[in-house]
Amino acid sequence: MARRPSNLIYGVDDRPPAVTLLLLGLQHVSAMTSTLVLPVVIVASAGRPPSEAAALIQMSMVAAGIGTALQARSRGPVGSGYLCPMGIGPAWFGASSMAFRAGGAGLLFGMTALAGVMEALFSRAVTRLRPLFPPELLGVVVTMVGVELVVPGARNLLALDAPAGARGAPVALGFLTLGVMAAFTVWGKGKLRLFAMLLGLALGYAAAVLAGLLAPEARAQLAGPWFALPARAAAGWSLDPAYLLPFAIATLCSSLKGIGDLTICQKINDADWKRADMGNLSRGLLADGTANVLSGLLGGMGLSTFSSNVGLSIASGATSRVIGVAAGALFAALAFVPKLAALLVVMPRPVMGALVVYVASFMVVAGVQLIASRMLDARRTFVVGTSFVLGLSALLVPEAYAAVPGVLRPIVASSLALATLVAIALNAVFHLGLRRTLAAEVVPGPSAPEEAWRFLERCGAAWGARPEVVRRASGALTELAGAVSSLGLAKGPLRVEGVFDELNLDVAVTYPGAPLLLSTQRPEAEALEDDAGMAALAGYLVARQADGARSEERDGRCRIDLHFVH
Amino acid sequence: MQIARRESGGEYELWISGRVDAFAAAELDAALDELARLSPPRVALRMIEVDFFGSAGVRSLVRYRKKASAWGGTLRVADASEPVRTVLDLVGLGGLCSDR
Repeated sequence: MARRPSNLIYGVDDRPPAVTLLLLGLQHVSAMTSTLVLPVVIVASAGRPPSEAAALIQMSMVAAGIGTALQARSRGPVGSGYLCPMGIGPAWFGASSMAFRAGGAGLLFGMTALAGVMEALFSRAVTRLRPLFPPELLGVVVTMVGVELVVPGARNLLALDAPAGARGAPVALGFLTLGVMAAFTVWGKGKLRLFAMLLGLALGYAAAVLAGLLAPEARAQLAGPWFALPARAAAGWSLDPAYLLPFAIATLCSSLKGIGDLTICQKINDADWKRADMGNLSRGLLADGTANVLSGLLGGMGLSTFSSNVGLSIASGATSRVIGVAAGALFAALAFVPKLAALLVVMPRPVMGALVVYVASFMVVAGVQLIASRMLDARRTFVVGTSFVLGLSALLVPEAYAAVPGVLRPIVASSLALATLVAIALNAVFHLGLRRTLAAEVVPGPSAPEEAWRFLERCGAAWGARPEVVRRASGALTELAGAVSSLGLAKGPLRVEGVFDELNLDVAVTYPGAPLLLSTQRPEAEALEDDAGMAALAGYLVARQADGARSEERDGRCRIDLHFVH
Repeated sequence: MQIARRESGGEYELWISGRVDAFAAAELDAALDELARLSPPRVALRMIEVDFFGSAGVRSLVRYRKKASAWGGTLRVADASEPVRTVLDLVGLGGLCSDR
């Protein structure tokens, strides 16, 4: 069971009081609205009426709300059990724009549902793909998620879209909001830290009203009805094979971002976190895929996990999965309350910029921590560094990719997608020839345990293996060498071979003589007075310290295989 | 393996460091046997500097505990390194650790 980190106010299994829960849910909903503008851009660029954008937003909100609650489920095959809200994903923007322009809302709905099916299928395969996603690679993904927020964050915070002579007031508003959020996060205690973002937003809205910085159309949008059933932008669904590749790429990007977000969720909820729980990631991705199928069927667009919300839960110290259920319910409910939804949609741009910069800073640091969780040898350094450099090139020198064919545009248009694919490719290439082997001969006798111990210490140092794993392997091998020597089971030298490939550490011991029987059944303490009892205890300790152990004898030669997950 | 003995408040402390393996455990047996002859045989083991603790070390503790309880003595592990704790937990002797 995961050990709860001491910096959390509400851990994943905790249940905050009702009012606190409502406010925390609302705080997450505020962050989830940050991409609601994407359907507006898609519809406007296709020259379609704004009512279609409103319908897309509402249906996406319903699906994202259900997806967020589904993600928080800790039982069954769907859901990671973490607070990892979903919203309209920027990863879907390119493919969705193309489909909407070419075939209208029906094609967008059909392709979104199909992408959900692809993501669900990917989720089933992800447990077997662990070698492709080591922690440092996921760290690159998470860091790049934060980096990708730099442009929208800085553009809005620094009011780059405002006329050159009128930036002073919006910039001041943005920094005031960011300052309040930062102050409550750094110096706030208890509830003040929990609601740092909400307090910053409230003050930002108030200051925007006083300074006259609310958008002119905000009043009209806020005059909408209190209740209205969400409508579809178009009836029916359609599919077009021409858009299969763009949606497949978007699915991959969204899924990898989901893996990164969910890995951070695992890490921030477990003080002893060492590696990604692939089974949990699989269930989390299945929740994402299910939400996307639902979004397509209802009449929404592609959804992804929201890194900004994961950053928010780190900042607030509240990761309770119940908050996910509350945020999901609130987000879906807002689709039925146009007036309240409008309040979030009209968020002043500098305030939104402050919010994005606030959460991006936590994502960047969380990603760097993931990268630093492994010893960075030359291979890993190259994978991480090159991915960053090429990923950032999409952001800093986009003209370098002007000649890339349209179908690959979603990759090079996103620093996240490019960095991720480069990291996966390099990691896969450098995995070749990674398997390393060391061998030694140990003579049975009083020095055998020490020789065995020293051998694995040498292996661990040469391979840069995790000390915790090397310690367990050393313990098991020292016990084995001591037992077969002292009990007279080994009639000749022990050949010890260690094999390491980043994910596994395997030790094989062969010797002439009688086998040491391995068992996970603990022998009775009273049985320790004779050799048989001691052999049983040694076999038990060897088997229990390894993640897998096997003993066999053939033609008077024994072989014991010990497996350790790295 | 190194063993040092101290007396503190009527209790004997054995400070053990290094590896308690199948062969080195004989030294631990000898040190414990010597204490078993003293009265009262109250022993605290300090094993924070033990890198490895194997089945032979477990047998030493089980043997001594049996003798000591027959004579009204006690045995406790005052502090233990992670490898020692792991093995004691695996064999069901985690209760010997007095900080639990």
